[in-house]
Amino acid sequence: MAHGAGLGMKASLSILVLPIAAWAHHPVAAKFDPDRPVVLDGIVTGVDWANPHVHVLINVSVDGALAHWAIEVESPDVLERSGWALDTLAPGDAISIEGIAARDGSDQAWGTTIRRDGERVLAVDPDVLAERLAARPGGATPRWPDGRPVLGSGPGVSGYWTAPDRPALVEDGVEAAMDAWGVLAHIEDAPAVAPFQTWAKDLYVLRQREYLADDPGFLYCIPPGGPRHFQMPFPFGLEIVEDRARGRIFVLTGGGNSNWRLITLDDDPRAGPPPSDPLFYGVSRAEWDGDTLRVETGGFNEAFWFSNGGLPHTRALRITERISRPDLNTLNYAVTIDDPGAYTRPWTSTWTLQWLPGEDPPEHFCQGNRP
Amino acid sequence: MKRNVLAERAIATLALLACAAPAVGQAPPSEERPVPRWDDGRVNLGAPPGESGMWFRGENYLAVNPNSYEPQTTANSRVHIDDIPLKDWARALVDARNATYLANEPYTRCLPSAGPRHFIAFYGMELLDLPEIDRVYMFIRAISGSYRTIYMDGRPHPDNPRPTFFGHSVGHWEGDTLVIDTVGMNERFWMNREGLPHTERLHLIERITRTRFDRLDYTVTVDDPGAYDAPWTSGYTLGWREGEGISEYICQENNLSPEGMIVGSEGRFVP
Repeated sequence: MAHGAGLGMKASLSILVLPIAAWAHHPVAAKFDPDRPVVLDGIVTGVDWANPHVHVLINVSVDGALAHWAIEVESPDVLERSGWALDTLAPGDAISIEGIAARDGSDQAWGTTIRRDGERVLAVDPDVLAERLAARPGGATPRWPDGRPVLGSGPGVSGYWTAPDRPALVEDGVEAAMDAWGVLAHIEDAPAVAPFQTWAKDLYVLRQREYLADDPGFLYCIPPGGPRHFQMPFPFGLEIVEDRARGRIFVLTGGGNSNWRLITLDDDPRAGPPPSDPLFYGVSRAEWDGDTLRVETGGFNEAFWFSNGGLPHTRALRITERISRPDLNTLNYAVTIDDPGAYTRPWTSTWTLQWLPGEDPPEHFCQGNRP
Repeated sequence: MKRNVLAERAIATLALLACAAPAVGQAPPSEERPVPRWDDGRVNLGAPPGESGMWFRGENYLAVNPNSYEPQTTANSRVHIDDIPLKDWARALVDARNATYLANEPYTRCLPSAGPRHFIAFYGMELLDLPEIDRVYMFIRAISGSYRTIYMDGRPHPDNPRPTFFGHSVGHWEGDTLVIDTVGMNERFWMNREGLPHTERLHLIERITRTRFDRLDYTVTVDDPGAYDAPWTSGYTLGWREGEGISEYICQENNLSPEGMIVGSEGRFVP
């Protein structure tokens, strides 16, 4: 069974033509090869229900011997929203799995469909989100009694922001096809993504060529600081909590580590440490410009990736975010990147997020992994 | 330096108060500041508008445990572990955790200290009461830099919640006391540093009362038929630190053993 993938490919795997869908998840591309589709029939020996990804452990019969395969599937949050529960699979169940094989040839696969008795028990359904967004009631921008827009939950209105329509930072006006985690479809597009300095472009290209495998957000649960917590795909997202009595806004990140980020609306020095202490979320001060919240943030450290896709930054980074809610269901988010350490000039990237009413972002702790 | 400006303001305010006090009557300088309230009379569990402050642990711990590897740190507790109706396996697990010097302590893996423990987390916490959206949030500085949501809109618990660290919390007011009912917690955190265990059947009833401007009484009833033969109650008193603002603390920044925290995210998965 050791390194038996070659044998297994002959014995019980068959090559299929499968549509590329949910496995565009960034660490998935780093670990599994979309060009090696597999089908496995086996008996469930266990389900490891943990972040970042659940594993279904199965025994596969290969030429009379048992091979122990680990089938990696989506995170508990995603599975739950696709209709899975903890007890959907039990040890002893005979299942059939479709997926893609590990690049290193080990007995691992990324599973996209799982069938039991011919019936599909798991498919990460991209239509789930589309259906829910289509079912939302529309409406005008909700407002507080003083006329200010409600940026998050308000009286009688609860929900969170998700489904950003831009997966990673790209300078406005630049066309660059990429997957949901910012992996470019064409590496030749890399230099146009942003006005990189040479070293920054080279580092970006290197990270892209490695399918973002060194992302500290995934490897070490480092928080999604900078604009990155506005890029978390469904079911992750963010909640905006307005403490109007004290002029503060908390952005609650649902994806990464369930952190809070504090934005202060007045120049209250008690609200945070001085910017000389470099931070993951930095020090944010905001003011209202009409219906747009304008947030200035500096004081970042370099220990995190500030965008999906692996764009670099330095401690010189300052960002200006402009956040507005033109109607009930839309959040406009524009961020201007000013980092003379990594880019040749300031530049801006703009996207929208969608309001998902009636629930909060899932509790997610990346570090809630296997001990 | 801006702090100095505030300090000057504070001194000026105190000076004003000192001048005003004799005119009002015999208010002694040490007069206790009343518990802050919102306009509708309800207790404010946080800082009044224009001020800041956070809650910090006092001297209390959840339970006295002479078998703790550091027994002296547990001395100030309302409950002795011998009076907690631990099931045999649970008692054995507490002893095993202490015998190994808390080697598998989730807190040191940057995991949340949920349940009663995050009320006395190092570096403090903040309670943010937002009656306009029927919620109370709890913001915790260490260890996970995380938050907990308490729904105050009368909703029930979900029927079969997926277990999470903080679980599903609903709250209501009984007079000046915030009463929080929580279910749906996972088994991946320790309720106190000395490793009191629980199961997914854990049900917590927490009662929070701001008894003075600078004192918070926390009482918790632990109801977990998986680990205890009967419900039991403990709690602690927290202190207010005037002027303290919540700030970023990211435990993972200094995690020198990522492989001890994350297995399976890179390389070969080892079941």
